[in-house]
Amino acid sequence: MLEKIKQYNLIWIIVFLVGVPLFIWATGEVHQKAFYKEAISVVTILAFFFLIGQSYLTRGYRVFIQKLKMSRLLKLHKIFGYVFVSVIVLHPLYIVLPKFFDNGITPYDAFITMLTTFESTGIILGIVSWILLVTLAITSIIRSRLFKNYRTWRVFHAILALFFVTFSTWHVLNLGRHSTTLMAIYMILVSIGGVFIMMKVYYKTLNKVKEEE
Amino acid sequence: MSISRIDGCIGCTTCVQVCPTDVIRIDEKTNKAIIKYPEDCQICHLCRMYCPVDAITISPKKSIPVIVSWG
Repeated sequence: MLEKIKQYNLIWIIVFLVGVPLFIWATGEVHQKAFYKEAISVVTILAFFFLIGQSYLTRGYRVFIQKLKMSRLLKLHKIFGYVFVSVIVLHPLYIVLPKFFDNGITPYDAFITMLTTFESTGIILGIVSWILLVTLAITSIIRSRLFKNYRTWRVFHAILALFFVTFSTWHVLNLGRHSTTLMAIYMILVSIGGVFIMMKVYYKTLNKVKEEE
Repeated sequence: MSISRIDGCIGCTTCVQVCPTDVIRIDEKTNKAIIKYPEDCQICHLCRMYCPVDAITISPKKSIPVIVSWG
């Protein structure tokens, strides 16, 4: 396993999407809460970084995984995608989880208050990001029924991903309790890098489609 | 200081309404809660308990020194 990790340069994925965010989290000021709350935060941060870092596991960027075949890279992209989408889809529920162990507002009321505070830009961005994420996941599962042409599917998937990366990063910058200056800068760099890779790949793809027509 | 920080506020104003001593206010620019008068906090924990997104942290340290009588 270790040899495979070294052979395929997977170590860099782990460093950039796990190591650096964890280091920034550990050196930040904000962790004064209960252990389970911090554990939830860490899982959410890692899942978020893996999702915005999915662009680095595509045909557009194979610097980290030079020796991996496209089929294997795609498999890795799918595994990371399904695992971390499952984590982030439940993120709104993690927020109200502490309310089960506290007096005061009930978890149900907390959830409703949270979702109906439309004065908050962060909440609106969060709802939009959640819808985009669920759409990304569902369209990936039923891809063969929706799209006959693989290239059309890829462009559709990338456009959705592009919007998801933009809105979710904005949401985290606005509301994330661990969004310290350093974390924000790193998050923006990872997102911009991912968006740039997607733009590069699909600019080429769209040009090819035009040439074929 | 008792109420120490607010991280990830969504601006629902619940904490402002439940605080009996008006410690928290809403910042008009950001539309988020801020600790305006921390010295007035009575450490009643109502803001923390009623915050829907668990954004408020109460410091375990008290700012008011305990007064010990002579003798």
